[in-house]
Amino acid sequence: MLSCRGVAERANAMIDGDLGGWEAATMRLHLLLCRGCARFLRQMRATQDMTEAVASEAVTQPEAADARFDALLSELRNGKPSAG
Amino acid sequence: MATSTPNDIELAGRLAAGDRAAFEELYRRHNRAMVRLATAIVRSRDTAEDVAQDTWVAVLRNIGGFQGRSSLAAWIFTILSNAARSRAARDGRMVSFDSGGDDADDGLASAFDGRGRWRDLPALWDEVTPERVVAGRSLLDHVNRAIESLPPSQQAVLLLRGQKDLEPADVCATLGISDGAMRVLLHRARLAVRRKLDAVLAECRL
Repeated sequence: MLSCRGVAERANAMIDGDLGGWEAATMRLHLLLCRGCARFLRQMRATQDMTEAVASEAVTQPEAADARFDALLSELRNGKPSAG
Repeated sequence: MATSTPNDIELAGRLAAGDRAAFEELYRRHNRAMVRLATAIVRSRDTAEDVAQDTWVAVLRNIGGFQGRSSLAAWIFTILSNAARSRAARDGRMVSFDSGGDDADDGLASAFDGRGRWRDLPALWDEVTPERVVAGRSLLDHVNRAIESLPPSQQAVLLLRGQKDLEPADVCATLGISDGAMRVLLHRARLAVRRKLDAVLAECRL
C-alpha cells in the first residue's frame, strides 16, 4: 500500500497519464480510501489546469510588425537567398 | 522528438515562399509564449521582445533549411531558447535548464509525519476558476505571478508543456534536457504554484 507521501510524489505522473497500470491502480485504490490524498490530487489537477491556461492564454497578438520581416518575406517571394 | 505534421510541412513551404499570411498565423500562435519563455531566461521583458523578434528573423532566414525532422514549433522554440541563452550569457549569466530541480526539498516533506501520512488534511479548494477574484486579483493572475517567481528552468518547462503544438519530447529537445529532468522540473514547478495558490486561497478562508 502506498503512503500518502508516495501518492503525493506520484500525483503529477498520474495527472500526465505516465503511470503504469499496476501503479495507477494502486493510486486509485488509495485515493478512494484517503480524503487527504483525494483533495491533494484535486488541488494538483486544478493547478495543472491553471498553469496550462496561463501558458496557452489566448491573447490577440499585434500584427507582426518589423521592417526586417517585410524585407525577408519579400526576398523569399522573389526567390532571392537572404543575406546571413 | 515529434516529427513535423503535414500541416507543418505545408506551413513551412508557404513561409519559404514568402507567404505573409502563413507568417502571421505562426506569429499569432507562438509569439506570446516565445516572449514569456525568453523573459524567464533573460529576465527583462524588453530584451525578451528583442530576442523573439530576432528569432522570427532567424526563422525567415533559415526556413529553407527546415527539413521536418522536428515539429515546426519545436524548431522555432529551439532557435528562441538558444538565442535567449546566448543573450543571457552576453549579459554575464549562464542559464542551465538542468538545474532547478535538484534541491532535496520539494516542499512536500514537512506536510507528512514519519509514517508518510498527512500532518494536516489538504484544504478543499472550492470554485477554483481562472476568473475568480481573490485578494484583488484573478486566480489566473495569481498563477501568472507564481510562475514568474520560479527558477528559469521550471518556468521554461511549465510554459512549453502548456503549448499545444509541442510534445513532451519536443520540450526536452528544445531545452536540451532528459525526460527525467523535465519530469522533476515539472513536478517541482507545479508543487510550487500549488503552494502559492493554496496560500492565496487560505487568506480568503480566514
